[in-house]
Amino acid sequence: MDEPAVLTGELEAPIEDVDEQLALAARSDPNAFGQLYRRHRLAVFRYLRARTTTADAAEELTAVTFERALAAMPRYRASGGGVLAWLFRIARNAAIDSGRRRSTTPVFEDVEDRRATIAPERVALENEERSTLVAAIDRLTPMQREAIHLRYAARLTAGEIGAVIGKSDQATQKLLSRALATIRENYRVDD
Amino acid sequence: MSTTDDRLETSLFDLFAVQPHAAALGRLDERIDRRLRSWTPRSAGAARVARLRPGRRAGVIGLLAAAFVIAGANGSLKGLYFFLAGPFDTPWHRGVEVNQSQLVDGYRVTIDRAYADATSLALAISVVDELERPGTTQIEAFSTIVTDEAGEYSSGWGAVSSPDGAFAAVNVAWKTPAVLPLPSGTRTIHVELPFIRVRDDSIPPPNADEVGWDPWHRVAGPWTFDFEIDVDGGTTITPDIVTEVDGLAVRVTRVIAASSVVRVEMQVEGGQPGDQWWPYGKIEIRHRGEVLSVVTQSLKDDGSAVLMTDGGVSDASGAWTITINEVERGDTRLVGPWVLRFDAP
Repeated sequence: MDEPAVLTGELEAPIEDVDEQLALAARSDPNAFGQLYRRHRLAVFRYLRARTTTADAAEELTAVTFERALAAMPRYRASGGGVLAWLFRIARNAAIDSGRRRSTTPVFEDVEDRRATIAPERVALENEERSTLVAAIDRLTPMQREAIHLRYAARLTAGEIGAVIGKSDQATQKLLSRALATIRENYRVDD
Repeated sequence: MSTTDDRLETSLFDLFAVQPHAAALGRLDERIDRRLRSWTPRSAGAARVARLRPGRRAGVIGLLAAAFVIAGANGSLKGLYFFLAGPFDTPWHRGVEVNQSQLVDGYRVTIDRAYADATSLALAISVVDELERPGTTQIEAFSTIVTDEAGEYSSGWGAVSSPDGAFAAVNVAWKTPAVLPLPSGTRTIHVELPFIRVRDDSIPPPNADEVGWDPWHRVAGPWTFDFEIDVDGGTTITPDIVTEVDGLAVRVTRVIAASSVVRVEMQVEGGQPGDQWWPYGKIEIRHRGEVLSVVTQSLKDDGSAVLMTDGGVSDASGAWTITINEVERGDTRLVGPWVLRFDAP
């Protein structure tokens, strides 16, 4: 059996195309844009949080990203990387425009942590590990760090990341491989 | 056994998996909702409008009016249905209780309610991972095979709510009957879900060179259900009227009007050989002066289109007016309007 069409009347389309179909609908339908926003606001926030120094800055840039996306929505056309790449290109440009670029990865100390209920000694240990990981990410080149943010904060695929940063799939995969290798050299995980 | 690479990737996902304060999310939602309320898509100045001219054949573009699907992380599972808006609330609010549940490998799938009329069958389906498997971040269940006495329903459309936590979600699935219109009476419905889909973010890509890695995977069932449902057969009208603007004609071939949904079948004809145009932008359907909101458009290669409304009519007789404001072929649009009027007995 084929996957059902999702939100598209009788068109046959795989579920992976939900975002693309929503984006096409959102060119003229605010409700569809609202659903796109709900689906991806957290990923956009997390990506921007990785690029900014405070949660307030990430919140503001997340709002700016979706406001710009809304303004550009009627002109949206499906292209390489799909609507996610399109959305994160807007987010990336918003971060660059804001001048809030920073050279290091924030530690997120001012943001609610989903593991806040873990025992205090465990949190301390994890904080130490996280600081080591953050320091390892800081040693990356800006482009490697960008790829890491898009992969692990935004959870984009290599193809989508390539569409955001203007590289081929292959080049993006190499970029990610090198970035992970560099982190691995500077971050030891105890088994 | 996890490898060092696995643990590094897990640590990276974990590092960035921050949760904004609820107040921050609330402010964001309010700001975007405010923008949406004042947004006028496709204003006259923004739309690129052209006169009819030969051009490249366009691909099929599906449009619809989707719904807000909003759910709180800790909300009641059934309560998620109440956040479904637009056409998505039909199976729940206008449907009848089915309440059939089946557990396979710890995944419980329940058909909570169902709705049927002359145009379609709609199912409200909830899914719960009762084992709450680690790594699961989202779950969905609306890939259905539906049959009745007349045969297999074709794929319609569906939606899944934001997850209720990681382990539960509600879904709606709309199916088109093998026979249209579906006549009034009781039908015996057989529903099979051959699989559900689960998103597991704990499994990183096999290696950094993996192309097209997808955290969603199928979990095989099947989950099967049988129930009876009464169908509102509605009224079928075949006006077969046509109106033309600048050599481009829009023809309405059939209208199936039921109490909760109206289905309008139409065709765009004319233009240069090899070109195909489709309805675009705002489409208005009025019955006795009341506007019926169009929520889905299904467009096919031959220029035919099916429109579905959110809301129907109890009595289809009287004056109908269907207005197509624009048609589209790829990046080119032609402004009408094409206004089609007819009376139903």
